[in-house]
Parts: sequence; C-alpha cells; structure tokens
Amino acid sequence: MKEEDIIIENLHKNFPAGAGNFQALTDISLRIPQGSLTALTGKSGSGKTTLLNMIAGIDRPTKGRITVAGRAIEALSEDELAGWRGKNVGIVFQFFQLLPTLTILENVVLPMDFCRIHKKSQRSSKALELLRVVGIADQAHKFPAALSGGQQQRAAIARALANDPPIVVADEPTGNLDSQTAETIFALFQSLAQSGKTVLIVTHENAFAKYFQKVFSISDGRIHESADTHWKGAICSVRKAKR
Amino acid sequence: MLSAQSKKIVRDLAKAPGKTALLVLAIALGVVAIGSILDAYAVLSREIQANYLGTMPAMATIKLESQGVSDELDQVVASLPGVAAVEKRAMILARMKIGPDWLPLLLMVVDDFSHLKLNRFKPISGAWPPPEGTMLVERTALRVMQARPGEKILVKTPHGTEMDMVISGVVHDPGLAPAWQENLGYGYISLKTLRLLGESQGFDELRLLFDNPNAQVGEIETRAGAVAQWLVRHGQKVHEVQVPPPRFHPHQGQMTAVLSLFALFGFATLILGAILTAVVISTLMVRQIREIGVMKALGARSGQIAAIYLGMIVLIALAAVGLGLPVSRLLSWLLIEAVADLLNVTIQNSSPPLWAPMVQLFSGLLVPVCMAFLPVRRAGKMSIRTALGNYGISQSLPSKPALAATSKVRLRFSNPSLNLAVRNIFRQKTRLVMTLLLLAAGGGLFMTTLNISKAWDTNIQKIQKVRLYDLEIRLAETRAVDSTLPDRIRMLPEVKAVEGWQMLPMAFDRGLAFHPIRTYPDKRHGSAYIFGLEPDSELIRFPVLEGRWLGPDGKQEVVLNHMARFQMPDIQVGQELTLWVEGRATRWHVVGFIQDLGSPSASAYTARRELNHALGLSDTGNLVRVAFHHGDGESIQQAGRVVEALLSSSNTPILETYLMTDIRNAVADHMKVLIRSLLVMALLMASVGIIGLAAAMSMNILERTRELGVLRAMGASSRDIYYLVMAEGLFIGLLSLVFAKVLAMLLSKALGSFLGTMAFRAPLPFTISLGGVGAWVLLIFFGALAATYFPARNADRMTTRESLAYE
Repeated sequence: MKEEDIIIENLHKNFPAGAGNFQALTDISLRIPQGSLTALTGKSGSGKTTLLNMIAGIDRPTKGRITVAGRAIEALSEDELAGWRGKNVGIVFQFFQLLPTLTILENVVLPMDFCRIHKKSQRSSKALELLRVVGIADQAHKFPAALSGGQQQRAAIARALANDPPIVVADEPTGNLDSQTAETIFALFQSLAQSGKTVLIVTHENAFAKYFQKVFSISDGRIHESADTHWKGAICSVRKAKR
Repeated sequence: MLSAQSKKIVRDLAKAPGKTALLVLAIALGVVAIGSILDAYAVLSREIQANYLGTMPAMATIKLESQGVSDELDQVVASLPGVAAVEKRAMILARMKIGPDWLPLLLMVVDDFSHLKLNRFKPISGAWPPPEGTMLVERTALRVMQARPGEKILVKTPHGTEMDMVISGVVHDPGLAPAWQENLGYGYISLKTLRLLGESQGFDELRLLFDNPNAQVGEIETRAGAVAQWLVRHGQKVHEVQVPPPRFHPHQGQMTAVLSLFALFGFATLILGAILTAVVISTLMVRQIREIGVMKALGARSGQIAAIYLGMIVLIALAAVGLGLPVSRLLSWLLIEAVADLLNVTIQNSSPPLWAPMVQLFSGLLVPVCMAFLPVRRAGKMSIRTALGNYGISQSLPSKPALAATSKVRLRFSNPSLNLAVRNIFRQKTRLVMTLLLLAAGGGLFMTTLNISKAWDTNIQKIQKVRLYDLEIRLAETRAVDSTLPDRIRMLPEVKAVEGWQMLPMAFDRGLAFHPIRTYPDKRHGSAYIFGLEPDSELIRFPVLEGRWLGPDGKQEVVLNHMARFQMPDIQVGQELTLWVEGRATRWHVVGFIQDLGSPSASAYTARRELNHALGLSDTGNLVRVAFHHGDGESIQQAGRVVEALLSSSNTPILETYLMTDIRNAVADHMKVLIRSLLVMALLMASVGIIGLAAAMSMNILERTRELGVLRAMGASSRDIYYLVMAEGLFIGLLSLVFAKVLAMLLSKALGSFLGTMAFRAPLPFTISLGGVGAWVLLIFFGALAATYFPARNADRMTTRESLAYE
C-alpha cells in the first residue's frame, strides 16, 4: 500500500430528508491505487457522486475515514480542506462549470491564484502550457460561451490540472458530449493516469470501459461487483463486508 | 495587471448592468439622503449661527416713555457694570401704500449708520447711510413692496402725513424674519427722516448687550431689570423691558423642525437604502452560488470567496458614493438655499465641514459592506455540494413555517395561477419580510407626508373657521374706537358684522421689579397681548381646551390661549393671575384655555369693559374686527378698502390693517418649503420601495427559472407567465398596503404632534389624506407592474429548453 493511495474505511453518509435520514452510502471500504484510472459506476441516485464528493473533500462523511494522499481529510476544517483540495485534487464537472466572465486562460489561472502555487508572473504561462497539453491553447483568450462543449471540457481539465494535483476526479465528464469528443476526453484522462496521477471518474459510459484499470460499481449506497458484462474484467477486488 | 479574481469582479458587474445599476442606485439613494441632510445641517447650523450672532443681537431692549434718549444717557448706561454695549434706537410701525392697499411698514430709526453696535445690518446696494428723506429697505421686503431701489413708496406714520420716500438702498438684516413671510415692509431711516415723516418722537429704545455672552434668559432679565431700575432712579420712565430668547433666531424653531424632520427622513432613507442594498445583494448572490461552489471546489477558502464578493460590493459602493456625493451636494445646496431663504440668512460658505462628507463616505462604504457581509458569509460557508446543486428554490419544498404561513392565508381562488402566485410569495419568508418592510416604509412615509400636508392645510383652514372676521384694523390710540365707530362701519353695505376690541401688549408677572416680555425687536415674534372684547363676540369661535370661555359679564375673568400656556405652563384654571399692562398690575381669574391657531402671540382674552376698567380707561378700544358679506378674496380686499377709506375720512389714525387671507398666507408660507421638501422625500421613499419590489421579484424569478420552464413545458403561454409574475408583484404590493397604512397612521400622529407643536404650539389634527392613499395605491399598482415587467419578460424570453437546463 502506497501512501499516495486513496483509502476509504467504513464510510457512511446520511442525508436528512423529509421522512427521516436517507442513507446514501453504507459501510464503504476500498482502496484506489496511485496512478490508476478508476471508474465509479452505478445508476442515478446510487451514491457514486456522493462518494466522489467525499474523496474530493467536497462533502464530509457521516462516519468513517478517508485518507487521500496520506492525509485523513475528514478531520480537516473547511478552510484546511479548501487549501488541501486546491493543491491535491483537480475536479472536472459534467457541465464544465467554467466561470463565464473569465476567459479560458483566466479560468485556468484562478486555482493558482487561490492556492498561490506559482509565482504571479508565471501563472499565465503555466496556464497556457496546460491549455496546450489539452489542445486548446488557441482558444485561451476566448470566453467559455464561445467554445464548443468538448473544448470547454478540455479547458475544465486544464483548470483541474492547474495546481498539478496528484488526484483528478471527474463527475460524468462526458455526459454532455458526443461520443467522438468523449473518446478524446477519456484518452486525455488515460494519459494523465499514465503520467502518475490518480484519476477517478464517475461515469455511465460503459463504452469506454477499456480505459479503466479499476471499476467500482455502486448500488443502493453499497459497493459491489458490477453485473454488467461490459465492465467485466475491469472490476477489481472489493471489500464489501465489515471488517 | 488585474488578478483573475479582480477580473471576475469587474466582468460579473458588467455582465449584469441592470442589477449593478440597481445596486449602485440603492446605495446611492442612502448616500444622497444622508449626505444632503448632513451637509445641509452642518452648513445651516454654522451659517445661521454666524449670520444671527454676526448681527450682535441685543440681549435686551428697554423701551422708555421719554421723548428721547440723550447721548449722555446712552454713554452713562454703557458704563454701568456688566453692560458691554448700548445703542439707542426707535421703531415706528408705519404704513406703506402698495397698489390700492396699505400694508404695515416697520421703520427702524437708527442713530449712526456708520457705527452700528447692536442689531447690525449690512448694506447690499445703494446709499449708505440713507440720505435724508429716503430709506433703506431690507432685501426680503422688496418683494412685499413690489418696488426696486430708486423707486418711491408712499409712507404714512401714525401721527404724520403721507410722504413719498425713495428706496435709496438695500440692506440685509439676518435678525429679522423674512418680510414676505410676515407680509410687511422693513425700512431703515435716520431721525431726521422720521421728523420729515411728521413724527416728533426721539430714540426711545435702549438696546443692551451684557458682558456674559452665554447668559441665559433668567440672568438677562435680572440684569435688564437692574438697568431699568437704575433708569427709573435717574428720572426715566420705563415703558417695557423686552428680552427675546438669547442667541435664538426668531425662526430657529422652524429650522429645528425642518432639519429634525429631514434628519429623520435621511435616516429612514439610509435604513431603507441599506435594506434595499441587502435585497439586491442577495439577488446578486443567488446568481453566484454555483460559481462559489466551483471556486471552492478549485481550492478557494471562505475568506477568498468573501474577499471577491466584498470587493465587488466595495467597488459598487465606491461607484455609488461617486454618484451620490455630487448629487447630495446639489440637493444640499438646494435645501440650504431654501432654508436660508426661509430664515433670511446669507450663506457665506456653502462648503460643509470635512466631517460631513467623511461620514457620508463612511456610511456609503460601510453600510453596504455590513449589509453584504451576512449573505456573502452565508454563501461562502455553503457546502460545495449544496452550492453546486443549487437550482434556486425549485428543487426544494417551502419550509414548514413558510407552508404554515401560506396555509394561514385563507385566500383561495378558482384560478390555480392566482393560487400559485399567492403561495409563491410566501416561499421566501425573509425576502418577503424585507420587501414588505421596504414597501411599507416607503408607502408609510409617502402617505404620512401627504397626511401631514393635509393636516397643515386643515389647520390653516381652522384659523379662518375660528376667526369669523375678514379684516382687522389696529388703531394708533387706545381710545380710537369709541361707541360710534363700529356703528358707522356697520352702516356700510359690505359689512356683515363689526366689533371694537382693545388690544394691548402685556407681560406676565415673573416676580421681578420689571416685567420683561419675550418679544423680538420686530415686536411680533414672541409677543404677548391682552384683548378686551365683548364676551359674547360673534367674530371668534375658539375651541376651549380646558375650563370655559368668558361669562356674560366676564367679571375679572381671563381666558388664555395655548401660546400663553406654552410660555407659562404652571398657570392653572381657577388661579389668580397678575398681568402687567401699560405699566399697571392687573388681577384676573383664569377661567379657561383656548386653542388660538395661527396666533404668533401669547394672548389673554378679557371683557373689554373689565380691561378698560382695570386700566382706568373709558370703554373704548384700539382694534376693529370686521366681517363682510362676500367671502371671496377680491371682494374682501375691496370691502377692506372701503372701511379704510371711511376711517381715513374721519381722521382715525390707523396703525396697521390685516386681511385674514394675508395671515393665512403668511402661516402657509412659513412651512411651504418644509411641505415641499417632505414631498420630495416621500417620492424618494416611494422609489426605494418600488425598486425593492423590483429587486425581490427579479430574484424570485431567477430562482424559479426551472420551475417556470416546467410550467411552460406543461403548456403555459407567455401571457400566463406574465400573469403569474405580475400577480405575485401585485399581491406583495397589496399586502404592503396594510402595513404602510398602519405605519402612516402612527407616523402621522407622531410627526403631526412634533411639527404642530413646533409651528403652532399645538399638535396638528390627525388627518388622513384619501388622495395620499389613492396615490400610493396607484403607485403600488403601476410600480408593481413596472417592477415585475422586466423579470417577467426575461423569464418569458427563455425557451422551455433553456429554462429547464437553467443552472
């Protein structure tokens, strides 16, 4: 077990609801190795985004422990969590979530500003370099609305990489894209994993199973092996039972 | 180079110019309101003080009965201990002919124009000193005189003959109330000119200044009494000792009323502006919540988020202050000019002291930041999951209390859209409360203003209702009204009723050797008179506040007006009272108090026979009050001229004549500026309320974009969307009417009491202006339609697909 692995132990998450507590995740324990490209699959409402949010420090568990990049994140305060997230986790959203009033370049610079990662004078050139990596450097000075969906998602990936985080998480990153564009986006994630980053993706798209080294399937808040034949071979060992 | 955060701030503001402008306007309104009031208050306080004290107002005036104060006496009094300065003067109440009418003209007879020591006035133009046979005129009197410098005015003194006098110059006397308010003229002449006018009297007033500049009225009365006693010991006959309120401009009360009211409205506007700012900022934040979620997901800390949005607010506040400062300066300048005109002061320096704009700047920046702090903090603290999942309120049910509130509304319509509109307004309770607060405050203050304005008019009408005479003629002699004069006047066909009264200055017994009166040098402000009349007079109908009116014979009975009660609050019904009249102590039994609206004087009403008896006079009088058959202005003026002509033909010396319409106009003029300014303030309040409604509606629509998309997907037409949104706005407007009405009633009562007491020494009657209610209902109706039109249009312009996909 490497220190950079993502380790989840006995994780529970409840949400208050009108009829009492809704149990979104129940006793989840798993480990995601560093440098892997991992998928979280499941039906809508199964709890996969909730689990992703826990790993990214976006949400907190009701019970259990999450260790990411050697740090138990459930104990961090909101501000510590923000700082930790900025440096350690790059997040890619389904709807891209680029800030509409900033140019693509400025969107990529923003996380650097927040985390003060690079020298101020170097941030723009670093951002431009990342845009070059994702193939949209020529769109750097345009506003998001002027870009296609695929270009916007590439920009979002560049932004997720702004602070060179060891972990990249993506929630349905291709849900809003056509299959051809989705293919290029998955290829991009694959290259990130190959460069040593841990990439965790929530997806429904079983057509891209070939890219994943690990797949966790969630239903009714519990992790189990997927019955979907498309994912066979990609399913990794899951410790489902309580220790 | 700007950071990405700074660029975001600037571009976010530029992206929503309407909302940014609304926010700038909301803050600017508060900045303008508080700024104009502060500036005006600071400048007026300083300038009025400087103007009035710059005249070196006499602390006391001793009026002698001798034919003239000699130079020697002048100098000896000046050397008495505690006396800092003395100046001898005389004042004659003459008359001037303006068109066909004779109006009062107060002539100030000055010994040495080159060395004015007390009650100074300054030359503005023309001759200085006035050549013999000419007069200088106070600048505010030119309007009354309808004349320009160099022109002639026909003047007549009580004992002299008519004489054409040239206006040889114009002066400014800040110690006098504006002539146009008092409807008289102010002239300044030399003793030689007085002689030319046919008057033989000399300087009969000693104006005094004591060496303690901060002396209070009690000390001044004692000192003036001591000088009066000294004069008596040295063979002079003291007629009267006048001690006006020290260092207090005759219209200071008005100014205090005006400024207090403005301060109240300024404060209210600042509060409303702050609430409006909070509402608009919340609107802004609704749009930003998902972006905040994204930025937090990218690693932004709460402090960094707060810095971005507080930075945005500071930028907006700076723009608002930049806009508000010059506007407030302009408004304050207009206000200063208006009040300066009202008080006859010259503004030497219209720049406010540094603290005024500093307070304005501080409040303009601090209030919005404070107002933004909570919504920004709340948004900053929101979890990323909540922020990213924010779709306004469309995804969540209303809270339990909101549902409970909705269920309490028993309104149920057959039209489901109306039910939806009514229930929608209860979904965001805090916002609803803030919007209602804005509208209720705006409407409440708007209606209050119109109520006060109407109450003021009602009071002015009351002045006429309780005084059933049209013309008042004061005669120069206490015996001028003999038993035949009223009968002669009654013979005129225009005359309906006529009565002869006795009217004399009086002083309350204050236990001093002399009995000072609180009259200003103009003999009007702060004066006190005793009236002798037939107890069954048909020309007055004063409401009795306590006790009763005079009995049929009025044996030693006196009724005091509310102004007298204000001056001497310890006097009770049933009490024995000593009044000093013509140097004699007269004893009376107080039987009642009456409300005598419009009277500038403390007045005591007695039976004429009793008053004359107490003074050793035969049953005569010096005042004629006449009622005419025709009530319109022109007929009354014409009839007045006929009566005057009759008196002139019988050589009855007229001191001054007043038409009741002139008195009513003078009272109305005193507060015209105040009422007009109140209306401006009311419109400001109303606009704050309507803007608040627009902001709240815009936010409601923004949050429910998806919901509206669902409605459209279900087949709702553009008309239905407009109908729904506008119905919501109208319901909120209607709901606010109830609160606005209650607020208006409470405020009208309180403000009416404050203003009435300040101006009339009696609260204004509680009056509801139906016109005001109607105007506000219309304003709310059209304001709500206008306020909801643009949000409704924006909602309608979105396609169903866009609405459903709206993030």
